[in-house]
Amino acid sequence: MKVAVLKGGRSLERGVSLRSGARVEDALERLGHEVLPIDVGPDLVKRLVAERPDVAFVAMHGVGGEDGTVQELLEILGIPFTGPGAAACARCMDKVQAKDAIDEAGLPTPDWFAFSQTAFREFGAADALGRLEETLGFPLVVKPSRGGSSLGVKFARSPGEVPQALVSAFSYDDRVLLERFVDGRELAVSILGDEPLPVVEAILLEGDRYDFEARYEIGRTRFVCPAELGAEEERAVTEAALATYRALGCTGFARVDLILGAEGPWLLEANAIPGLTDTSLLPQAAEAAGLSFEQLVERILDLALAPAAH
Amino acid sequence: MFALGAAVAGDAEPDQRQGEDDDHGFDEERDHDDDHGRQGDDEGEGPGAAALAAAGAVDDIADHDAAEGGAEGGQQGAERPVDQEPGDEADHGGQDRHPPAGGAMGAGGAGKHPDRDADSEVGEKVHVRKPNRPGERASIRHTSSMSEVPEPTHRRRAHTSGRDLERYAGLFAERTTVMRSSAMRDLMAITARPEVISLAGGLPDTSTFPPQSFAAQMTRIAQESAAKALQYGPTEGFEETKDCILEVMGAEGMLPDPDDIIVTTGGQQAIDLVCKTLVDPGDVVICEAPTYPGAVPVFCSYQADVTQVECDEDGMRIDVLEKLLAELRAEGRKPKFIYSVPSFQNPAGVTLSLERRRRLVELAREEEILVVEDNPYGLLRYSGEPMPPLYQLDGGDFVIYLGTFSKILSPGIRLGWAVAPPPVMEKIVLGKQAADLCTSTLTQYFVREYFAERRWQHYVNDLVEIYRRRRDTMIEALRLHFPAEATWTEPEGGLFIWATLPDYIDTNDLLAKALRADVAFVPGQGAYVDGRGTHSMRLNFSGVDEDEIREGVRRIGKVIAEQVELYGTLTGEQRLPEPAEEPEPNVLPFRKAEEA
Repeated sequence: MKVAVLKGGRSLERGVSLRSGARVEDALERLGHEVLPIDVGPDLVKRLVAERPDVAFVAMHGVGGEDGTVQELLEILGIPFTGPGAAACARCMDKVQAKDAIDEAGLPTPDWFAFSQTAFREFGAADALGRLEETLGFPLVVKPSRGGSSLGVKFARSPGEVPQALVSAFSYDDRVLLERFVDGRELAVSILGDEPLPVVEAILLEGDRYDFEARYEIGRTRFVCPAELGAEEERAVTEAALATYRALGCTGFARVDLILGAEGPWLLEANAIPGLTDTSLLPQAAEAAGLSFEQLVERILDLALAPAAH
Repeated sequence: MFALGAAVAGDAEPDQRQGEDDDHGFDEERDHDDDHGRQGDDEGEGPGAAALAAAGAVDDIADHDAAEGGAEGGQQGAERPVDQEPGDEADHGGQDRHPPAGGAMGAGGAGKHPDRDADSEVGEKVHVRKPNRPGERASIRHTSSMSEVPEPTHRRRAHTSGRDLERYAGLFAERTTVMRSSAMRDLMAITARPEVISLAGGLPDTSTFPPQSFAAQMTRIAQESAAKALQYGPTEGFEETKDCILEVMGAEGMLPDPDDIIVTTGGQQAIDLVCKTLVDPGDVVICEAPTYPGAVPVFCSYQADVTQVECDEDGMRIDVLEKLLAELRAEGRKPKFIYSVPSFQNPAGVTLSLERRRRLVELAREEEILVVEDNPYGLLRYSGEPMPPLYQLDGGDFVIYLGTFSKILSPGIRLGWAVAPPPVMEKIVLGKQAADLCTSTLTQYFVREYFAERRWQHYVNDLVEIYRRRRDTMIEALRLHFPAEATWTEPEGGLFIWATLPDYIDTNDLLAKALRADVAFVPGQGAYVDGRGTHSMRLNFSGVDEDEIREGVRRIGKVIAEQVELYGTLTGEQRLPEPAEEPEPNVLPFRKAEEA
């Protein structure tokens, strides 16, 4: 089968994407497929039209590749592709939209408020900060609405730190959210098709919880898979993750990140195209389920080509 | 070599980040970017870079090894970044046949690689083949003739699974925990895009070197000295290379004993060898704050306890240094050395004043502490009076001097040097033997030929003219486009300006915004070991032309102005997004530190 691997692009996560892509290409070759690697740029459509791949493996992260843009093009071109469809990608990429959907589905997600830059620049939203800080309490988490890999995510421990955190978050997106900080265990549930894979727990060995660096380095975060959970906990966590996956309209695969607090799971977000690098969580979870990386890639392709997909 | 990167670049960077392969730039980051760029542009060459990147914590080293393996062992080396063998094998294999000048090295490898002969055979045979993966080596190893060597079926080495990674992680030496790659390097992958104006590099402009001259010299070497130029050389370097070094040092008023000199693979190796010779885990090393970002990973990989001393416009605060030394003395500790880039410092661009130079040298003598003077830019002075190097003031008793041809000729030739008192030099030579036997013979021949033309100083003068204009252009652009609250250094030489922004702006995040505006710089955090520097940035003015400097600074100024305005809106403070009408000249970024 001729498989186009879409990777790179212009997003801030280009580097991670290139690593994911390279690893996928490697697996696809070993599986005997014809691989067409594409570093996504202005010639994408031209190349896809000329090469007519049987399926596209989307190994892009961040804006452009994970937000439905590329998926929309592939849908228009009629090329089957891996991972969720355009609408689901757009929903997952935008944390505000995702939290809305999660909330509407009756799933627990930490309280939040979203603001656009315009709200601050033109409508004096700064005057509302005090009130919502009271509601959310400290520390609170400030996140760019669209952005991956914890880029631009800041903690504010006091009201004085909020403006600075907002300036940082707005560096990545024009919309940000302020979210109540929920303490607990940091878990990720990857879902393949409709099957939840074993839960991964990220245990940071040092530094702050939200740290872009730590996620891509060996030795700074310890990942435990399967996470040590009681049967009841595990059921609650995987059910919540699966419900989130469905609420966001995901197909193919996705990774749901959540915090397991004292009262149960708090859903944070879903990653439509989770990383596939050596240190990424989805491949680790698959391996814990007995799937080699090749088998994982093959299964992802099968899902993309299944009649129900997209 | 971005985290920004490494070094680059980004860095929600904790402390130690990207190792720079090279002297005095975020060159490694740059190289890394290039890797990504290549990988993107040319799929055929990607795997090395991909594997490197994936190697995470061993990234930097792998980078280095890949480069070396590539050069010494052929393509195979580049394919197997984490595996140090190809280069080794080639060396040892070669060495068995040609005992080189330094005899000590063979021993190290002998017991370690029982299979090295077989491997070196592979190294020789494999050069006509496509790169292969380690998994396939076993079959190749026992193959007796080329015809039986199976064609590799995959371009890439088999990637590791999570479990494998854990297994490797268990094998890593403790020092690797402080050797980190950097998210900034990922961000900097984007600077490889042609539309991005990068003020992030630390690069000299090698396009100014006349290609005809390069061709003539290399031709002469090929015709007259091919066999010698392709052979091993003495570990200390050729006497003729040392003659060239003496000329360069002489131009700054130094005249060391040639026996005190060792030729190294770039200035970066000189830093590494000094640490290898002097630093045990936990030893105190003192350096400037900010310091050369490429030195940080070296100090860290030798597990030094790094303490940084504030700089102001006159370089390292020697009064603060004295206090620190007293504190250490009270704790019964003594630094192994004080590392300083006294002239046109990377990244701050500041120059240590004469008075402080004298005091520093005096202090070293009184306390019997070594000072490591790193002077890559000394001859690149665009204004002001020349300053005597610490080495000259001290006479070489307590100063170890590091120099490089990278900034006055070419970083690609990887030639630097160290000058040290004889007992220290003796150990450095042993360390160098263990590291790489000798510095490239070929490039030493090149330097010899180049210096024989007697034009090297003209070339340096040309560079000074070019860089002076670029520096002036950048300062002018900063005055025009940076907001009133920003401060920056106005260096009298070197390659860098250090700009400091209001403390609510994190330059790591600003970089993300800047990259969307197609411009890149190096966030300041890489120049500190303790996470400071998040409000500063390093700007390079040597690597791009004047129009690009103007446009690049304008773009950065614009994104800063947006953040200043936004912050004003958020806090209710009235802030002017426009640059001040009458920009203050000579605004220096260190006032705050001094007041504190």
